[in-house]
Amino acid sequence: MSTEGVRCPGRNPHLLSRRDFLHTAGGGFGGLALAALLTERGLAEPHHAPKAKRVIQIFCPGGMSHVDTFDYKPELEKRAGQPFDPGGKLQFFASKPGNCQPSHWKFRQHGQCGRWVSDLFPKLATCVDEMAFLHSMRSQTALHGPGCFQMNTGQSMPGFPSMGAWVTYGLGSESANLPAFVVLPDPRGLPPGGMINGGAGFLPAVYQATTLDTATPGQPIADLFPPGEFEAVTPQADRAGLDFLKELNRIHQEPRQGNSELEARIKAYEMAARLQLSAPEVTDLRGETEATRKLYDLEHPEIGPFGRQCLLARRLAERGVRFVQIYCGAENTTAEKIRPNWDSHEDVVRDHGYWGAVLDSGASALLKDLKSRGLLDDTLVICTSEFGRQPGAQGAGGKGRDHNAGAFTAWMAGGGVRPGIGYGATDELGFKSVENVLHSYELHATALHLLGIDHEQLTWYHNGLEQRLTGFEGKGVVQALLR
Amino acid sequence: MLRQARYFAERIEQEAGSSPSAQVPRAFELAFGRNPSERESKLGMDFLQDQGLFAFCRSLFNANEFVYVD
Repeated sequence: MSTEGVRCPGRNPHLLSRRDFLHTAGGGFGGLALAALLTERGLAEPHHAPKAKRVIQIFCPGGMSHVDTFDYKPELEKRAGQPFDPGGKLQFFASKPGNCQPSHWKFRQHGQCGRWVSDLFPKLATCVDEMAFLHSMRSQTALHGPGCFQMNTGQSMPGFPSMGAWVTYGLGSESANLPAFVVLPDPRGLPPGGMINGGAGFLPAVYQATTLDTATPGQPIADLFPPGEFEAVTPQADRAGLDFLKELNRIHQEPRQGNSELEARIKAYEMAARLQLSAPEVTDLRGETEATRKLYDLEHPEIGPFGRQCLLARRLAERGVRFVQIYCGAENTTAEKIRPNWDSHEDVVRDHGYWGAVLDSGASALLKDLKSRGLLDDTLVICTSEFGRQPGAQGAGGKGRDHNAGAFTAWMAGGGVRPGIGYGATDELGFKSVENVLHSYELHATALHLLGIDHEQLTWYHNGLEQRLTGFEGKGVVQALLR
Repeated sequence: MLRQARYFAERIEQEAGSSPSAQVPRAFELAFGRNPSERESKLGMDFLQDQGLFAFCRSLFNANEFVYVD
């Protein structure tokens, strides 16, 4: 038992407290990874051989309706127009249930596997033989912000580390010039709950997400380059300034060991200097072929921006970024003619119609592109929403659907996922998940497993508990989802 | 940030004159509320002479000591 080489996370190795010593000497896998990241000596060994090296996660905020997309409910068609809740006992999130409302799009079977997909996703439907559907998802909350937190951090409370932060903490970075965890928000803005969806929570701040601004292609990171009016700011002066700043910050840090934010900020300046070179290269899509540009439909005014996000995700993955998160939708507002995310209270056909076409094009292009480049085998793609929508209609015209924390569908593809399967089920109407019920815990545990991480071993001691992404309520890895 | 650094440099020049040995301590006083240590003083003078007062002021504004309250 030696403390040689084992850095206690975020602390001065020479100032170990008794508690720190016991904690570190106990052998933290994450501690080793952190030491590797901070000293750049190479990566820690994963717990077992990984199937996936990286993750691309597509998040559809607002609440995607499972009964209009991937969860086919013939019984709902039979009961169309009948009261969903004849006894009048149920209260949905923001309304009383209306009549049973079958899918607004026709369902068909697709691919060799015969999975059901609605006509909202004609392009994704051609990819079903690569996809595994998790039909029995549930959330602990029917609120957007907390729901997003749960699917991202495993907890509905704000302030916990995002899955991308956990994965980076566990596995370190593969790229010297790009951040390990990148978030690509919708060009309209951040998702419900904002930036902390990609936060590091109680993990050291170096693991938080770096956001690439997808709205301004020439300036992917806000203020990465100085405005033109400052002639004195040249690359040479910048370099000298950074060296001076580093010295100042090191002197300041000496009596303040253990503050991970100071360390993260010192690292951030160094990363920013490297990003000035690497970010323009990664976001410059001119080198992509015409076929690729068409595949992602980049020129389309509505579909193009999300296609661009998906193409950027592929380029980041190719360059060793460990975890990329793409948002298909922004924060809610009712002021727009079409909702800025999937939250279709008033008009499912209008809002899911819009966002469905966006997701269908970008996500199918991403799957096909990854596959043709041989990247799908070791890239895990996850697509999820924070909850589903009700099979009973909402609103006077019955055109909307209310929130449904009791049931939704997520899907995974690539990275060692068993393709073409459906796992779990909702009841006959799609109101509640009833068979092999899943929460974020099992999805996260399965994703970590594919990355070579035992979810019970990836921990961080905080508030008297060895905290983990998957919490303490879940059922662990879903073996049926593994190839 | 850059604009404020330019204003700051102008103020230092007004208050401390053109000598780096007076500019460095005045800038530390205003930015951090303390005098520079010997090490910081030497580091600051060297940088200021190489890169100018504006770059020096910009660095102070970006320093962790300026951004984070203890």
